[in-house]
Amino acid sequence: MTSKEIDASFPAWLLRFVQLLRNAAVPVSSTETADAVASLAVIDLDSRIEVQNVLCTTLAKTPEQHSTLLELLPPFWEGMQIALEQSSTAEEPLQDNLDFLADNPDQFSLTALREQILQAIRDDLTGQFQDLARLTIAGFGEQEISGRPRGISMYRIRQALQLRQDLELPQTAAARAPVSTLRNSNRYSANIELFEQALRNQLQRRQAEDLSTIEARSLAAIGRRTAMLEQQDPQAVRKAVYALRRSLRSAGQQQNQRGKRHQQIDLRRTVRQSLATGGVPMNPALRHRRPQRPKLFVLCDVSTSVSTSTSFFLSVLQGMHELFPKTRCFAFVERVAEITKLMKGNLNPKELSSTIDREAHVVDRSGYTDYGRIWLEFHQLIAKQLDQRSTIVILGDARTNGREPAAADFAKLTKLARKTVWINPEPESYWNLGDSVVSSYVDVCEMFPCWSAAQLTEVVRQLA
Amino acid sequence: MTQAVQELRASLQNEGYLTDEPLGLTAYLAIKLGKPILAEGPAGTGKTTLAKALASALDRQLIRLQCYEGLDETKALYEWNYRKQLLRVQANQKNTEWEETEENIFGRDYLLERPLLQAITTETPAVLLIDEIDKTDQEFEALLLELLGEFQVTVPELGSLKAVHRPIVVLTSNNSRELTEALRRRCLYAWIDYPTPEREEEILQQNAPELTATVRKKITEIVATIRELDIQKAPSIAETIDWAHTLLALGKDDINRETLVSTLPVIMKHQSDLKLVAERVGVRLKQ
Repeated sequence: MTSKEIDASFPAWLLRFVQLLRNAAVPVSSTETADAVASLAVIDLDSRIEVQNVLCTTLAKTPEQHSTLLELLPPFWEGMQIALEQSSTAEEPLQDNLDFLADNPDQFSLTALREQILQAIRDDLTGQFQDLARLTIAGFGEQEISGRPRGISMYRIRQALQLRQDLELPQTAAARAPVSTLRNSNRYSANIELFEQALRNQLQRRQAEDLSTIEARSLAAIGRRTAMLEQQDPQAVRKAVYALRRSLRSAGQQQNQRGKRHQQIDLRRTVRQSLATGGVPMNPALRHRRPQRPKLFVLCDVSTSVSTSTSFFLSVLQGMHELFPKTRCFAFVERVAEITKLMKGNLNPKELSSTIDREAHVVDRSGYTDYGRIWLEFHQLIAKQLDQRSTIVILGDARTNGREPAAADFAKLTKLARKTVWINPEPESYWNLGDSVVSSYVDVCEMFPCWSAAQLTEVVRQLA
Repeated sequence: MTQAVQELRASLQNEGYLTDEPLGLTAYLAIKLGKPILAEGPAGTGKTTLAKALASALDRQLIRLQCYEGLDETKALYEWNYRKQLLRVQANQKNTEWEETEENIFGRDYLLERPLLQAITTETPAVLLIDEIDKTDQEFEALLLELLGEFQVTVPELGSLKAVHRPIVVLTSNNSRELTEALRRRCLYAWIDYPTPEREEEILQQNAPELTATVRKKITEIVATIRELDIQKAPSIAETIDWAHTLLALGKDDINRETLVSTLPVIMKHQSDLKLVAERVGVRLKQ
């Protein structure tokens, strides 16, 4: 297949796919899209594996992006199949019929169509089946199908066409035997089967076409305001974390500019460069300063009191781990345990949570959260590595089951880091009610009520 | 499956380099579209070897730029030959006008070509290997963008030098620093991971054909188990091959616990790893 043949419909589908990727925080540029189109033009489009590999190599530039791409691919296949078929099947009379039908939906004639189908079945014109099926569905689509479940519509088409009736009438009663024997004995029945298979295929593809509006669906899912949400859309979370990366990065750059006044001269390079001007050091070379990268320490509460938000927390944790390679992750209940190593290879929150259940040593006696003790332990573990580049992110509800909140220890920790961000999965009206000790912590850190990707985006906006 | 991709994979195999499908396709596209390949993955999975194999399979010369922290354009791109220029200026001092001298000393004769410029100006087609790009500073990446996008280099005194033959460019990275989006955008991406035991067996067959099938199988199984352990440095493919040669040299036709422990230093390079592997893997083998 040459690029010319796919010109008409394929790029449109590819662009949709790119849009899907972008929504899932895979930053695909237009150059990369053009690369993908150019690459698809030089390979065999019939081999899905090859197309998949092309998309991977041209559009996804990190292992994480690869896995995102593979997740989004199945709906794309269906779309591509349709695109290919539309460009390759240009059989004129049927195509004309279809166009005519599209323009004048009320002119759809069931009898004429039925006649055409019967003819094809009698004459073994199996090549026409796909197109006839398309025609049938297009016709029915305007009249009956829209808005109804597709399973019923297959049934309806069957009912309306009654193909078996005509073809099997001349046969004896034996023709009404089970399908399996019919298929062997009766050519017509076999053809009807084939045609119905074509119908089914076409229906499935239509469904896939409708599904290609996935973008809207996932965005709607983000907006839902419920702390009970079991499954967060990990891609939406990833997107929010991605925005966080940008804001942290720009913060680092600002710091860098402030430091410009105190730069040192690199003598070796200055002398070297002076050779170009005959030994006169006209441009002093300054010692290169490495850009400061944020160091992140993420602490995640995995106790039962936050169980409703655990999947959200873990998505955030994973997003951060993916996007900031230097992130150190900790889980805690009444003891704190580093889980950075456990993050590797766990691609979804479910796997991660079972790994944590198995391997992170976060409880000892009661199994209830003890924030005060966590600060002490965390201080011992990490105080030496905290500096003015570090950001501490805490995911938790600050419910310490009546135990000592140890506000002073927490304040000590926050002083060591540049910034402490607390993400609390409870709405503000719940703070300080019951065993919540928010008031002990809220003055020394930035605390946000946040339990969904949309809110996380908002938090990131406020941080930036 | 596209014919041309198969052919490329076959000719790479002739050079002793086995590719999987995605990698073969990426290499093919890189040649066909003239795009650089960015190969990432753990150390010792054959990223650098890919460039070498491509060079010999396509009968091109290999130009290699080994990156390190502090690499700058005078080392990577070009530098004026100051000494020669000074000599020229001194030799000409009395007889010629300044304009003429200037024209003379900023000519190609006074340019020291470093690997990147060399890859552009060379008369014979080349494969340019930019190894461990993640070791350089971010500014250096910016320097590469013009080269990778347009295949040209701008020398202020000479203007833009366009590529005579577009080199095939392979960049490798171990992900010790995150590369900029701008660089990623310009490349085709290939993630090269440790091979599956089956593929590694094929690789061993290619590189140590004298090995018996049982030992080959055992080697790949053990190596795969080791890679799953939480160790400081997992054994690379090259080390697996070394190990196979070691076993051959010792005339071993099976791997028992003692053989493993005595030859382990070939594949494990940290004291703590040695102990861990001997404990975890060794016990599963026969005495």
